[in-house]
Amino acid sequence: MNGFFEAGPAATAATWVGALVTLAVWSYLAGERRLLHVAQLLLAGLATGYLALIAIREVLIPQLIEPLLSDPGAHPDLVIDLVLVGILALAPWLPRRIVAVPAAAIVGGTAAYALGGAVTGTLLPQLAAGIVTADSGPGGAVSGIVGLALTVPVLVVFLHGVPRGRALAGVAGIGRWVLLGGLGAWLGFLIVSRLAILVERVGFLLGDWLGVIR
Amino acid sequence: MSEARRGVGRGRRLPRGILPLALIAALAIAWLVPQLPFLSLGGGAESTLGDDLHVAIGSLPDQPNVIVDMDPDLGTYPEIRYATRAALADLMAVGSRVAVVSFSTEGRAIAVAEIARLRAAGAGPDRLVDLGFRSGGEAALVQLTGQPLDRDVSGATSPVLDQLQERGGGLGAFDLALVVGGGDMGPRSWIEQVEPRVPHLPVAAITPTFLLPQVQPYREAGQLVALAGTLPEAVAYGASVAGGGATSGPERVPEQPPNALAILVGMLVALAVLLESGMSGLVGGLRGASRGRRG
Amino acid sequence: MRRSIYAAVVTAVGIVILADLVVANPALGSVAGFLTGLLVLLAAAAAIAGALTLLVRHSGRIARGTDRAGSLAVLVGMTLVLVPGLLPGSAGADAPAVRWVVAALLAPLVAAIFALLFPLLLSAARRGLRLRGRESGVMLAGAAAVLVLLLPIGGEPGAWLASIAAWVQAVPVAAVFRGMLLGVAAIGALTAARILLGAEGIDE
Repeated sequence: MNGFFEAGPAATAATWVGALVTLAVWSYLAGERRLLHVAQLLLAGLATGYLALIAIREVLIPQLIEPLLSDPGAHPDLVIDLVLVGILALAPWLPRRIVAVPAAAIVGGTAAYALGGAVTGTLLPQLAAGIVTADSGPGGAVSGIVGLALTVPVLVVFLHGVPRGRALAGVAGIGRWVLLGGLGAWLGFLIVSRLAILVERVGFLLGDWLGVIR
Repeated sequence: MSEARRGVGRGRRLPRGILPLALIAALAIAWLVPQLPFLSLGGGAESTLGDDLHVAIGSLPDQPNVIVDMDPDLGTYPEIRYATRAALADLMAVGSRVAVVSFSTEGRAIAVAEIARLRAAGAGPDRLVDLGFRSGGEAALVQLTGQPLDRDVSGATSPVLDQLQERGGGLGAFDLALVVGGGDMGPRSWIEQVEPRVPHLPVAAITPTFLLPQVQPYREAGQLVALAGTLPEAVAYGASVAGGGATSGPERVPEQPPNALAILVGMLVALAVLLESGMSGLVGGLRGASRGRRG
Repeated sequence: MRRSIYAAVVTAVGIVILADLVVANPALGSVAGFLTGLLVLLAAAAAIAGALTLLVRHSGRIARGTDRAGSLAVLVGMTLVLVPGLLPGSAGADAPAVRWVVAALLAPLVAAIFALLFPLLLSAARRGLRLRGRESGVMLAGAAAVLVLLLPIGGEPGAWLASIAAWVQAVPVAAVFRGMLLGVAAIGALTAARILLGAEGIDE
């Protein structure tokens, strides 16, 4: 079972179930869609159930329920949390004007983390990394210039709505082709990743399940 | 096109699914063939692939504290499982105290399995602590930067956490953060949310190949101190750790790398498909241009 | 009125969290810490809402006779994980029964579906790359170059390919995707700023 469960009868049973599930999903290749449909829905149930389980056991109980039950007076902030958590958990059945408050908090927090992280974690350091410094050495300078020659046109492609003269439009045109080449490279990386998973699954069927390879 | 020619075309169409099934059969045959000497997924013995992660872990101080963010995707984890288990073995071999945390559902499922595996292999509570699942993505990461880490997932203390308290107790008490990515949370989240708040904590990463374009700029900018970001790098790193010789305990790498011949077969099939579609596109374009000239 | 309360909460939460990033102030840090903790708990609440919604929807479908097999699969999946995980005395995600369900069903299902993506990806690429000659040719060249550079060949040729691959990753790939990263980060930052300032009309 590739280590997801310790050796023994339970692991053997898990291997057999896993192999049958794999073959059921792959029956799609032979034109059988119903098994894949049921498998996808089973997966949705498993994943949703698992997320709910860890949300309850590893977040809500230790961070909210247990502190409130042990000493409610010491955690007045958690009372506010409890009310908002309750509202969001029952969101599909509550009026929108009530659900709007916790939903707005999530939107505001997500936007703030995205903005702060993008500026301090990506924009500023990556702009600095794109600069070719005087002490780069000849190899570093060539790589830096090549890098800059590729980065700038691609960045210009993203500047939608910015007025472009002929020079900038020309750079954007070059950037479009460079971006296409980059996306092609990304397709190549994606192919390698998906191939590795298919190879591993075939190895699981032959090794862990059928035992014909070690 | 005439009826006769259309009929011939239909008669020659292959049964549905025969090509993908033939591909799977070819991969299965490749698995059964003994190892071929000229094939190597990790770039060969002379290659320096994967060295930076090995060096990053090897240069940690004595008995380092390392936090491992286990957030791969169950679908893509098979690609990096060999490197991830090698990294955990590597950390155990250098005497690390490891804290494992996850911010995604599938990452948590994988973390539970890997922690159970390490405990069964002999990693005790003085070496390994489970910090559990944190919901909320970036919010949970930010919360982690400001929290004293004094309780594990079951609410208990542990020797690892006690040792962290002596160094301040938060993320700043760690010597390295190793991010195993592949899902929504990964190296980028750590770089954007943790680095601005805990700037002296080095971040290393193991990610599947398809994420390389997203993480390579961070590696080149030095925001990641080490990265195993492609299949060859991951395999090379895993092989270098497995070559260290541990045959038992949590220092052992209990995994084999993917079959190189099967990977080669798959990549050649992919190349053939891409080139065939490129040739078809080219021929189609030339035909269209010539029809345009005649018209 | 509803829109102004919503916008006010969005802006207030966002400003406090952003300010805490740049200003070291204990009171501000305390409020930001409360908000961060609240967001963590709200994310867990959203997971509960998702599970409840799925439970109600698929129970209704079974009662109405719509796709009973599929809806039953959803409910069986949820039950297989939630019951052993939430039982009193259970270790939750670390309970042997839950770990078995992950090993036997969850992990193989996801891996099998992802493994299917390789032939499907090739099929889609084959159809897509035939459409537009020059653009497809450039994309194809990029994909083919990566596949060649990552071929699992050993010995001297393998080391030579690996060193070229390392340079390609470090220079052109990093440069192109740095440009993309900067562009996406800039657009993301602008969008986030517009949301916080209420300029982006989010449907409540």
